[in-house]
Amino acid sequence: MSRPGTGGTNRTAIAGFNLIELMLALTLIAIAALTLVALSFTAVASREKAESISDAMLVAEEQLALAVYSIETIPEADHDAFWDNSLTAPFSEGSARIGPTDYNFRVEATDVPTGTLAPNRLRKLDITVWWWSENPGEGRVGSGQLSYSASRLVREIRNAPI
Amino acid sequence: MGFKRRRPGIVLVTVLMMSILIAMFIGAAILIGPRTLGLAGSQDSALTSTAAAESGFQYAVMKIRENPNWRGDGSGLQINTPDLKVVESSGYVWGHMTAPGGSTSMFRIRFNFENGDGNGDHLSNSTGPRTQTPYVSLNNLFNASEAVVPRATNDSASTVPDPTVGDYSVPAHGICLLVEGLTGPGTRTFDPADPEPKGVVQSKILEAIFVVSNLDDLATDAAAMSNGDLVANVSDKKQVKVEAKGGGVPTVRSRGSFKVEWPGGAQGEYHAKGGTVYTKDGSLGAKDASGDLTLEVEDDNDPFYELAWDDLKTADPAGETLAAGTYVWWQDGTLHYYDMDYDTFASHIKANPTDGGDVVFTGGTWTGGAAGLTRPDTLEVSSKKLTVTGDLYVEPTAAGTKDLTIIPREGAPVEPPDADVIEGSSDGNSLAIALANNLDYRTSFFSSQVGDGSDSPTGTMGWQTKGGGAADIWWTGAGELSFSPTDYDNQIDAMTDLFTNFPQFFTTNGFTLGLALEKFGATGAEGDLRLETGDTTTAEDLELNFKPPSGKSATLSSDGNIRIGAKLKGKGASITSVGTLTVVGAGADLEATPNVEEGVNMYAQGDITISTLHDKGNDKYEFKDIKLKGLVYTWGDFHAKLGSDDSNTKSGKFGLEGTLVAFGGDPAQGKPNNTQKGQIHISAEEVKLKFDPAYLLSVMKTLPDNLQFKRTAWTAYR
Repeated sequence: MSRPGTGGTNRTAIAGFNLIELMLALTLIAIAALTLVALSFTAVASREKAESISDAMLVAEEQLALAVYSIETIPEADHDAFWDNSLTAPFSEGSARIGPTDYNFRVEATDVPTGTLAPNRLRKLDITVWWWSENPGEGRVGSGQLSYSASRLVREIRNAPI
Repeated sequence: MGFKRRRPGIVLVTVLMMSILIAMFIGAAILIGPRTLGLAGSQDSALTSTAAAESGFQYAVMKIRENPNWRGDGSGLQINTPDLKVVESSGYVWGHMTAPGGSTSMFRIRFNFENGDGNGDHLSNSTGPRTQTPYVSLNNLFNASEAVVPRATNDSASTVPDPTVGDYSVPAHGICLLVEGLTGPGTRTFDPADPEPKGVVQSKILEAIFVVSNLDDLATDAAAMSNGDLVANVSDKKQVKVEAKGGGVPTVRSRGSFKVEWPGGAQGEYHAKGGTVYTKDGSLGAKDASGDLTLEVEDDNDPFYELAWDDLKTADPAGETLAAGTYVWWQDGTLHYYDMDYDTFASHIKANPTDGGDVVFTGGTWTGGAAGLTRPDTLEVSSKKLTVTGDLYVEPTAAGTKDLTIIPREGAPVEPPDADVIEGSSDGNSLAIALANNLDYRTSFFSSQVGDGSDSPTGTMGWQTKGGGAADIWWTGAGELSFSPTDYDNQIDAMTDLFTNFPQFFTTNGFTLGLALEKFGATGAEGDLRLETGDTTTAEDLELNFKPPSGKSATLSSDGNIRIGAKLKGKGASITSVGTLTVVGAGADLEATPNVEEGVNMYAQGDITISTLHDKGNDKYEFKDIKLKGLVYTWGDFHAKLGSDDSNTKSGKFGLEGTLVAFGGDPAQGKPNNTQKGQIHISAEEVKLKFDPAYLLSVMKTLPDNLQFKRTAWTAYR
């Protein structure tokens, strides 16, 4: 048989412990939930950026291949105009939409000083793809710089396949 | 009364467990986030390194078009711009590119086998920087034979232990390029003095085999071109057949006439489906067997294929050399050397038939003889067989000998003895009779001689022999021979008088009566020494074999004449001669080696004569078949003797896959002024020509500007 006084003290202690326990639990849950939410945002942003980069690379790969093909199969009438003159304007530029995103691209062709003569010259093709900004190199809060670039050489070919 | 038992901490424990679960989610998210980005980065590496490797291809092909022998053997920086640098060193190439956003990539190519000097790569071991790749490229552009694509060992030495061992080959006139594209942190900086990447890199290997795509542009697609007449004497009911490889138009071009003749002078048949024949007047001296032939007038302004001597790949005089002279195989397998040109030797040995000369090979061993001749490293000698394994230059001797002659002891006749001529006689009468009996010889003899013009009608050449009247002799040039003596006896009289009483005729034309007698069969067939020593060795018993190692060439070059009285075998070889080139016994033994093809290119400033005469013994002869693959190019005339007037001697079949050119002069001087030289004369059972310009590359020192390449194979590693 328990004593009343003693039993009341124990109940009070147990109740107090429960409150502390509950507050500690809530605190932990709050911290964990907030961390999870923050990480979720970060993960989503990372995933979006990764997808964007992948898409940008697809655009870059496609546009670079298209530029190489165009140059290697350039019509005879346009051959000299392309190879004899330095290009101040981009070789090609535009945008391509993949999903909700517009990817801007620009391909530039620059002379390579090989010392060789026509029809055996080289040019360097540089492609830049950017999105969520007006100009390449601009960043986006939370995502950093959203652009991709690559280069390759292309050789002069006249009236012949590859 | 009972009470509900409390469980203190149950909430905390539960929350902690939930927290652990949440932490696991967080951990997973932390891990997955970068990996997602990492996947994108990996895609980036693949694209960037592939683009870098492609750039390496573009650079390499550009360099090879500039210099077909290019093997990454430049020195130092070849291109130096802020965003592109290319370094070459000892057969290695490094390229470094920077994209507009600052990302970097590299390509590297290796040609050096690192297996010593030469040895398949034509490069010495590197003393500079090296790549650490086992992937080795191979430039086989100038070789007419395929070559093994080697692999280096993977150890730090990274040498190619044996260039002849590999899993696959690059074809003749092909290039195998292996380019490694690199990206990653290791490519961020580039030091031209130490161009290897510094740090971690991602690699992509691309391999491609390139071949020349526009060979047809290198030469007019004619299977045969003759500056003079093109005459083919074939057996009854047989044809001259012409094709073009790759479906081109089968074409023959002649600035003179083109005739196909059956025995007795009857017009033979020419078959070239959808083909074209160009002659001086647009006519054809043959029946059109295909029925769809196009005849055109040869345009004098349309040049033949002009392959000048300076553009020809010849053996280097500073390389392996063999002393010029006459090498004679005896029946016992010994090789006897005479420091003499062939004509001198022929006169000498006829007067001294037992002279053994200097024995340079006996008992299976090269002794060098009393003269101490050195056997070149590119020549292997065994009994009655010479094997050329690399370039070989015939070095003139101190005695002034320039010719190279390889014959059996009794000589190598180009055709059977003519029963109609007087053997052994060296007077003018025998030559006159020989010529009077043979229209072809007569045509050939007089069409190339210079007259004195003393009493000749305008436009003709001739000699006044007996002071006018019926005995004068003159002729009107190649293909239009017309003697003033029209009857047989008067022709003999006029020629006998000319040959015996007018030594200035021979002086003017630069030869002797003896040589003329021999050449035109008055003393037996040309090349037949008739020493009567009892030696039974014939040209067919001897062999001259060209056998270069994989990826190497074998060119035999002489500043004089070359006369080979032996079976000529080989693939991817070339014979170049400043004088004439005579090959006797060239016929393939089709019974022993079915479908064999002799892949030897021939280039001579003088006439080229090929005979496949086979001496069966007991004065029985036959001509063997021959199927040549390669370029046959002469500044003079081309004679293929696979048949004769003697109906008892079986004729052989003549086949050529490549190009036959009788230019008629020095190609460096352009079109010859007349058509006296540059004749093609083929006597055979039948003739098959198939145009294939691929062999041109085998003999050219440099490639034309318009050469283009195409990829025929493509592989990506990693």
